[in-house]
Amino acid sequence: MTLVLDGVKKKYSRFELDCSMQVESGTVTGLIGRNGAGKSTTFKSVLSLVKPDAGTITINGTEAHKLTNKEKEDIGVVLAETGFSGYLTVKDVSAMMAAMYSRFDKKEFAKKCEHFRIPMNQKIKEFSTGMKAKLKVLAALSHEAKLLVLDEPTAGLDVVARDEILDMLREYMENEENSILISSHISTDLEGLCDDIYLIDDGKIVLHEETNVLLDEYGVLKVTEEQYAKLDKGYILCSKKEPHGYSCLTNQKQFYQENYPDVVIEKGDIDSVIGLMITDKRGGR
Amino acid sequence: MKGLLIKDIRLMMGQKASVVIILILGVFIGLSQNDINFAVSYIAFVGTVFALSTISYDSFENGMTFLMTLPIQRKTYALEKYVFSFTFSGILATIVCAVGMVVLGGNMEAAQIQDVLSNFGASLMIVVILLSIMIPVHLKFGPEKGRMVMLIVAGIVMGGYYALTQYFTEETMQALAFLKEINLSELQFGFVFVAVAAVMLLISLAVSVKVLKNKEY
Repeated sequence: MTLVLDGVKKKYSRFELDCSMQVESGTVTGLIGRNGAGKSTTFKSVLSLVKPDAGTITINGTEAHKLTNKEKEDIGVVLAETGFSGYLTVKDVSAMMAAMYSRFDKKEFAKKCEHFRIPMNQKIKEFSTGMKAKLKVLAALSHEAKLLVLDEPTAGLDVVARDEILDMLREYMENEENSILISSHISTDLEGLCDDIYLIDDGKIVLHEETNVLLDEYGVLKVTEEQYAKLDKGYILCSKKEPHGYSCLTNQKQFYQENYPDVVIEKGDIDSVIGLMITDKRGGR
Repeated sequence: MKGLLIKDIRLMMGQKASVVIILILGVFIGLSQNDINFAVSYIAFVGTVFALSTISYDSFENGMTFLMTLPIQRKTYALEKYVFSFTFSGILATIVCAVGMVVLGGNMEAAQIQDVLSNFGASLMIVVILLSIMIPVHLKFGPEKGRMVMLIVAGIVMGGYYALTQYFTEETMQALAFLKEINLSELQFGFVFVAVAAVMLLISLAVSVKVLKNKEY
């Protein structure tokens, strides 16, 4: 299932979303950024919870706000600060989903809830944060969705539960028609799961890269003032002033490894990319 | 709509102790006062308030945001609230009326039984009118602000009644005399009442659908 956002704009008083991105069939796409960067607004636009001022959002070629109920069954959703009514029990949720989703597997859902120690007869408002998070993910995975839209699905989960959920998402992706759009503050989750990553800041997409390229070819150069002055900055994406001199982000780590053997080069990862690109935008150079 | 109805039924089942208490209270009032009409009207009103509390439950901790991502249309959500609320209140009113008739009906004359049945029908129409006013207000302003808006509306209505009876007595009497001259039979009056309720319901539903369509979460 494919998801395309084309020139999507949404203006608020202190912030404007202006974003184009794509989730291809059979891929896991990550969306990362600081708090308030526009991740949730992007998710809400995809789910027709807010109306963009401009641009189009299509899911398998159909505009998102025109999806029929049948087409909506193909989407599984986890949102960060909302879920099923706290006055329902999991048993109630199961009955409700069985009526709404033609492919909802009641027995499998109950089995998974038991495995994750989610009580069936207790009101959801009495659950811990972790239990609520697990329930949301299990519900999204319970009806053979073809597209998962997951806004911080592992927030509040302990390490063991997080790994189990990530394994379930990997198993979900064994079907090559499935796709996931996921956001998370836990960068290692995204590094281990995503095929490509969009970095959003202040409502705009500032970087889009394949994850393996980001991990293999990106690096952070730690240079002194003297080294920085002599450095070929042709492959430097951004820099940040540090006590030791400068930290510089490059997407051509090998070039600097070969031509500047004295320079300290750290492996690139999502956290270092966010840290340097966003600081640079804020005048950290 | 089936999933939404199941949700609301299960929400009410979670409150079943309260529902049973108000049902027993309604029956008790009717039997002790020998006044089925009051009991039916009372239970219809209380049932409506209970049914509308499902909007509060849906909104709890931002729940409406997630609800709108499920495979439902917003207009279906609005319609379901009317269907569920009317059915819930109607069932409670029917139970109270039926129990009252079984216990007290043996001592009633035909005219009294007809009066009870007319009152039952009128109570259902009043439920429709109440829902027509309260549902769009709750959907537009949210449950808490919606209650405040309803209090303001009730205040305006009571203030209007007071003004009519205190300051426009002559005009009010003339209007009532005119209505009396129309001389509708009870059946004709019933049809007019149903027609007014139906029109209000249709307008209310259109407003509710529009409110939800434009709402952002």
